[in-house]
Amino acid sequence: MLVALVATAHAQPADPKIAYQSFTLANGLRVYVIEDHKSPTAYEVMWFRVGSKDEVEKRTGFAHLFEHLMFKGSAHLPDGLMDKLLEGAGGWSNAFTSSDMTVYQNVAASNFLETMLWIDADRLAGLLDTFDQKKLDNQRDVVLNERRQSYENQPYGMSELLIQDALWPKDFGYHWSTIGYPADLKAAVVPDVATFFRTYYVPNNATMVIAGDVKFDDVKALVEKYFAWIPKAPEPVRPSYKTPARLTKEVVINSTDDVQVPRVYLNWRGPASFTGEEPALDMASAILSDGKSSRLYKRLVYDEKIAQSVRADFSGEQLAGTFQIVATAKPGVDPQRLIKEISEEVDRLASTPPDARELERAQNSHEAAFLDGLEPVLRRAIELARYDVQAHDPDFFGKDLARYRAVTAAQVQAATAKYLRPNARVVLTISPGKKAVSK
Amino acid sequence: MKALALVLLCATASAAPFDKSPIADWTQTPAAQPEAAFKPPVPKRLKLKNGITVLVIENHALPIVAMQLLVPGAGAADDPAKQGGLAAFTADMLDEGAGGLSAIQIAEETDRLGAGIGVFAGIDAAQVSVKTLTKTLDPTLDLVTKIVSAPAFDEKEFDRVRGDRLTSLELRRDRPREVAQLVLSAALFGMTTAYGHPSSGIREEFKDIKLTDLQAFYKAHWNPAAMTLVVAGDVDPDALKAKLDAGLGAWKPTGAKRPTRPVAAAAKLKNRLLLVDRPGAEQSDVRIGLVGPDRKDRRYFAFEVLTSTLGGGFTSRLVQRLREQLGITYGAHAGMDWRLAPGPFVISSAIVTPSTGQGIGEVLKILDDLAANDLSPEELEKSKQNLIRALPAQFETNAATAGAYADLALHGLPDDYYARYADGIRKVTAKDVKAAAKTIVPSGRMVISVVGDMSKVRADLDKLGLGEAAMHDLYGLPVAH
Repeated sequence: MLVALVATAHAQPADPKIAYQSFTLANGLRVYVIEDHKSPTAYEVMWFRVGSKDEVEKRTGFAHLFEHLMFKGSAHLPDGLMDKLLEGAGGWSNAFTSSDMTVYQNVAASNFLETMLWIDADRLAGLLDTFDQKKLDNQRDVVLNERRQSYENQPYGMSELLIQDALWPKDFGYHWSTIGYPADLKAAVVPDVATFFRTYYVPNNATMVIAGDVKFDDVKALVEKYFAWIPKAPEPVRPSYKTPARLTKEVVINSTDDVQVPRVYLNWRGPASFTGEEPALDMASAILSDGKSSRLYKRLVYDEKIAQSVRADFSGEQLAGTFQIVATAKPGVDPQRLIKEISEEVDRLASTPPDARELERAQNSHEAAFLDGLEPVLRRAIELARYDVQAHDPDFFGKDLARYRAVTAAQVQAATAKYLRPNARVVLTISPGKKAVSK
Repeated sequence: MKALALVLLCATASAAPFDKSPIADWTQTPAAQPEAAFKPPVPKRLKLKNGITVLVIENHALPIVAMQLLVPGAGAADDPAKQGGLAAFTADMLDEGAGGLSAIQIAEETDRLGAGIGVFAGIDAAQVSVKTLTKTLDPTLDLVTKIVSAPAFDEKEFDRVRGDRLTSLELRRDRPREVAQLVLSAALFGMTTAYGHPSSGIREEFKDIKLTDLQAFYKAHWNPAAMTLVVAGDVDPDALKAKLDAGLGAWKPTGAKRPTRPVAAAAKLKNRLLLVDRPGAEQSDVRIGLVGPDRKDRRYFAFEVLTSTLGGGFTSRLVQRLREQLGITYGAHAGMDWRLAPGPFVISSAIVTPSTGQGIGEVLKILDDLAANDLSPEELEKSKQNLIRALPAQFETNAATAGAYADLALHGLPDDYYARYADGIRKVTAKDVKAAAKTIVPSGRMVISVVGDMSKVRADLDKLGLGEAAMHDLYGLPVAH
């Protein structure tokens, strides 16, 4: 069964709970199993608790570069075999890296479950056995191309790098971007790979979710067979950070790019994910910019026609969060006017609670998106891993929905007033000109 | 320094002790279990009084519903001459006021219902995509009915949306990937044809489109008799039928045309190399393509295997060569855009500036090899199994399921098509793939567009032997000599 719907006494909408079973190996690997037999497909998620915040000086971008190396073969898997096996099984293999985590995903027809586990056990136990300089050089080139494609060669593409750099202090793990500085990527050497692997790619630093057309008993037997022998390692000793307080002044950055109209970015430091004010800030962002009737869209795009687009967004991460508002000017519009009017709307939300209907719309949209997110098995598996790692509670699905339903208009106002202060933000304007040289 | 000390320490540690594992021979890939059977969902067919075909696929796993209303003949292929972008603009205007509700009221009601409603024009058809909750399905259907059957085409909203769309066209030069695609399509089919013009139009023509043009296009092309509504999710077919009969099914407009097959064919080519200079670009956006077969072509399955082998996944030849061996790109892709009339076959990649010429040369070599040599049995089997075993994923979500059956409806394919898909792929031989490659992919027939820094890539491109190049501006329009 996909989701157990538990009715409540008050005939409220039922609270979804993901049906799962779990076990933990003696080496510390936590494993969750979601049985869903709708389609004959199996999914594997391996969530390693390491991201770019764990990188050391002069090695920014390394967590992500390392992620690429996990696809280049291991002790008993020649380079390329894993993708051949998984694609031949109707599936694929991929991963993503962020400041906090590196998450690997394998997909295949469910009768290839054992092959998936064999692949992942071999690379967890034996990545270094066949690792060499050539693989590092090749993937460094690929990552540099990824950076060009996603940043340098993208209109306004350098914005996120400039913002992170200004929003967080130099000695904080979110100061640099996950993609890393080219000079640091070029400086990475083979021994860095060995150190990083032995520190972070250990069973006690991972959460595994197996989902789809699988049976719990089979999964348990196979995971024990392939993973239980891998020794437990010392808990990773990682850089530790003190989360910085709010900014105490406004930081203004002006940059240029080969574009035709200016774009402005207003950024504030916010709380970490799964903390009390996260839902209120998410609702604030929806009230400001989701849909045609949202405050910023209605004023800047719909009524005054001074912006081509506007978007507000709160993203909570493990150590802290970022609240961001981005607006693209219509041709001929002064970006200062966008900044001024956005500030007015933020101040209005900070001084007066939103209308009940505004909040209801934001909450209903959130709930619908939440249910939609449960539909794809792989997304459900990744959510379960996220709850395990970041909320420390695999049963958080229902609670997550509940905390958004419980947000009040007064909380939205209070969170806006507390975090989105005019004198505690980074304001970046990218204006038409020559593409700014990258760091 | 600290990091270095740690490295030396680790370098002396032994490798992972595979001999401590319970597995006797790690080099043996585990045997696969018996293949699980898969049956695609079977839709239930209904017909509304005004001719709309309804397909219902029940899925009660979650209290949500997805729908897709397919509107054949209301896509960009039906844009009148000199009015590129009309179909897209018309679709865009449908939810800007309808059935007595203003644009803002529609947006507010959609959010309140926890719904999502999108109206888009594709190439061969327009579509209305809807997601909603079971508990708000009825009011969502009421809203969709208003949007589809009673759009207001308000003058004020028209001016605003027109302004937004014109600005977007003015900013096109900031979107080099879109420009590379535009230049290729225009060259393959001809800039003024059904498939050759950009579906959002070009500013020089778009600025003259009037509100009456939209109203006329809507009246002629949004024809219920041609529409198919696919509903997938937590619904009861009988209750749905009753609701639709009283709503969308009661809409009987006059003056609508029957959709016709687009007229599209390969244009006579003057140049095969089409260039856009973008000084300072660190990568070149490259499109390589030609006009392929149409969706009903009997070689469909052979082409699916061919494109999968060439550029369908990580193990494809393009990714392996350009990314994994040469390290000159982050990705490369090949795909056939299956349409009612012969559509474009396109290879796309962003190649690092100094290696642009080399990368294109490599692509051409790969194409010639596919046309000259049989795939090995292993590579053929990998591509075929990839396609067969990936089929179930097409029905994983309600929205994907609705899309899959709307696609069959567009092309007039039977409801049990997906149940027979695996057989079609299984029959494909190496000879079939080579024959398909011979008809379209030999490099001598390919047309190539490149948006990049010409001061750095031009010399290498000229050495590829593709003849004289034609220059285009940053909007993708030909530069007069």
